[in-house]
Amino acid sequence: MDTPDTDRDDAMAVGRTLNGEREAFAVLVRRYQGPVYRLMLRFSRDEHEAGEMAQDAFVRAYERLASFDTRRRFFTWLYTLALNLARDRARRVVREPLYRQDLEKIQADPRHDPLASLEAARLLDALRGLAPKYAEALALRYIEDMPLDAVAKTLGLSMSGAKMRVHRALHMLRELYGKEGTP
Amino acid sequence: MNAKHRTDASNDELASGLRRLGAMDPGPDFAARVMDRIGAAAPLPGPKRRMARVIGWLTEPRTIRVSPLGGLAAAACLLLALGLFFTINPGTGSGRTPAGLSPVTFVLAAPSAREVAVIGSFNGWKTAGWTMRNDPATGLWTLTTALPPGSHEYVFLVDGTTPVTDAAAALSVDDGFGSRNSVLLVKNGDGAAL
Repeated sequence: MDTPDTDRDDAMAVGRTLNGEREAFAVLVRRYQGPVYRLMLRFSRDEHEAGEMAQDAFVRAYERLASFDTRRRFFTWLYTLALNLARDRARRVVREPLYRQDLEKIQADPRHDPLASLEAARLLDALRGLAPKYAEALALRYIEDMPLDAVAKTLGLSMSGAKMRVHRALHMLRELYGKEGTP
Repeated sequence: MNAKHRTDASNDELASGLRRLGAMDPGPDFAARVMDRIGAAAPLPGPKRRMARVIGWLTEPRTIRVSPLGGLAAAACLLLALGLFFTINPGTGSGRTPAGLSPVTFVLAAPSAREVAVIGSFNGWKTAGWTMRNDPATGLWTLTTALPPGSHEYVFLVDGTTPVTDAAAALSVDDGFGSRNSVLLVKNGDGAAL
């Protein structure tokens, strides 16, 4: 998602969408639905709600597409918009602990290895416990597997700043996950 | 294994765990659901070819901020470019300006707008009480108010839905949503707005 070719494709898709080809926007949705959905999952424990929030982000992006500057990276613009939506929602909703039924649901899910799913749920929950600026640095670097320079650009940091943010966030997550992961 | 090795191993495990979270996806019909919602939304502006862009540039809402004398020249230039002639009295209400505040007049040229309001950091980004007054003869919307010294971010909200930055503003900043807010710098004393 971070190559110049992808940026050019994105700019073309934006241009075609603005020229009336709505289907061109579907290309952008399919390309970035994963990162946006996973971003929303860091702000909501409900998968259905996270899906709705991700939809909201894309609809909002579509409505505001004319204001997108094609000289910028589309993902950075979309990610910023989605992050702001998620933060607005977080301000309205009180954070709740990981419910027992969530764990039971995860463990009962036949599609996944229960232990692996439980570990993923705990890790995701620990990630939610970090301040967004740290959680997002880790998420972009590892969950979205973005190189450090792309993380830096997306978060508006220098390379060294992104490196320090990720390093610090990993340390904080290790502390938090260690505590939450301990029975 | 020393402490550093244990930390590195732990970090590697965490990074691997995080990478596995990348497998979470919103389902195969996600894009279709988004496109369904978009299909019900209002269409975006139509094709903009070169001539259309020129026409659009000439006809789209333009903004002028007069605050109070400094921007008058810029406003006059913009109005002349639009083939309009209009005189603004920046002193409206200046005699009643509360102490410590400076009079500011916002002006937006938007002939096709049905309603325009100024929203910004000075009014909590709310339109209530900040609706601009329209002159149907010129298509200009104006609002005179008084603001405290400092930096104020703002946009014009056209027809309750479309934020429009002030083309005459000297500064603008990222609004965090991928667009920009205009910035008004009000200095101490009467008529000291940038």
